Amino acid sequence: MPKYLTVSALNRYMKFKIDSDSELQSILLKAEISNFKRHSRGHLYLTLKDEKSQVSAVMFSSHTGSLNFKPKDGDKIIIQGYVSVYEPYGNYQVYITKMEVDGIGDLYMAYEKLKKSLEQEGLFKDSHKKTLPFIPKTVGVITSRTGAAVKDIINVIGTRFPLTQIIVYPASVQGVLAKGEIVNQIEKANQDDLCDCLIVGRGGGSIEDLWPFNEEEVARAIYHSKIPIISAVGHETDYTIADFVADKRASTPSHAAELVVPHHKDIQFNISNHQKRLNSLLSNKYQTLRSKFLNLVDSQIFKQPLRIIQTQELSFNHLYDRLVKSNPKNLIKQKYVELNQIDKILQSTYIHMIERKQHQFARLAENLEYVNPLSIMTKGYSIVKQNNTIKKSIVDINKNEHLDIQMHDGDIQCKIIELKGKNHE
Amino acid sequence: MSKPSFEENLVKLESLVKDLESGDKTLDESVKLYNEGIELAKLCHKELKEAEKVIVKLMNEDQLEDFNQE
Repeated sequence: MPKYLTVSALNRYMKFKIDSDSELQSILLKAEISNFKRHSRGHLYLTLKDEKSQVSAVMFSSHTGSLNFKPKDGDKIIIQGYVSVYEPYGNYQVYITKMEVDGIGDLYMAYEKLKKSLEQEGLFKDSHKKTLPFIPKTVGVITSRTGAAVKDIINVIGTRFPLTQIIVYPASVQGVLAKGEIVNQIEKANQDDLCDCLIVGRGGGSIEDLWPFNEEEVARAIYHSKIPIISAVGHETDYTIADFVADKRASTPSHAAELVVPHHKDIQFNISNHQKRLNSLLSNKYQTLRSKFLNLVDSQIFKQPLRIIQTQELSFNHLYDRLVKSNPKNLIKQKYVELNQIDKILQSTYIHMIERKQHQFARLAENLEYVNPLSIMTKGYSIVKQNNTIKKSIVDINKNEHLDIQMHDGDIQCKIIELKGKNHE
Repeated sequence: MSKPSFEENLVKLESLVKDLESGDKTLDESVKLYNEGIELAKLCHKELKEAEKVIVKLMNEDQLEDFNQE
């Protein structure tokens, strides 16, 4: 007698066979979505297909929290999941645990494109970057309230500088809601104006997880914040658009906390140095003034006040000597002697000069006697004149006028009869 | 006017030291600067010493609440 199975038994067996195949318990699949339905309880029902085949699939609401996009028909996706049998219908289907948009390359392209356009617009300019406060009173932290990032930041600030207060502005940092929540909290923190610095970020994750920090709206919110912002997204190697536009980039949330507050030990050291400096400055001041004072007290004036008088007396004596030497009485006496001498010289010179002149005169008078024309005329010489002019030659004589002859004892007026020169004719 | 912040006190302390360094102060002024500086330094030390645990608040809607870790 052949043994007949029930349908249920067959389906159960099929389920057992498939579930026990480890290859099928963890699969990666690449597909396109069709027949997408969202169940009221949050489960997603869909068909996965490619050009030739299709298979039904389900994603339970317990897994949909990690979705960072809204799936719809036609989306190309990659999934993680497993294969099992739905016994009531006897069909096998794919149970999705993780679903992402297929096209990391597309994301990268979008990132590069946005980065370039924002850079050209000037959102990354250093001139726009605000300076972080040296010691903020209150730091705002915009991140998930449950993530590791907020714990790290609280721990580091608590250790380094517990005087600084923290206000957590909770926001989703992955998934579709993240972008809007981050933007809202940046704006809210600016409105509240309770913080003097903000940290915006999250811990490490996949490029999709970090994607909200590559969104244009988030970049613009950071750019327009009046409060300085430190970005702290993922790990050392992750660079997001938020990092470029933020006033300061931290490689991790912990690093952001280190950047935002100094270490209290450094500050204490600093204050102690100031105290030492104050002490030494004041003591220097005192020492300087004291030694100045001592120098003054020690000076000659106070030690030997007579010195000054002695010095003055010396110079007075010197002056007095000079004054006595230059008494005008002496000068008059001296000048008087000089005058007498000059007078004597003058007198003797005068007498001598008179004698000489008398002698000279006598000699001249003697000579004069020799040349006196009158004495010559007594010897027979006469003077011939015409028109009261003495004539020495017949050439000068006008024949038609009368001639005067002067003799020593009288004059003769004569008429010219003839002129007979020696060399004439 | 509200109580000056820690940073304001620290900045003031620095400027007092600089003032005293400039050396053109009278002894009276110097003593005054010194006393003020020492007081500020003590105050800063005290504040640092007394701050034991960082205060963390949560902005819930429009209300500041204590932030519970875990």
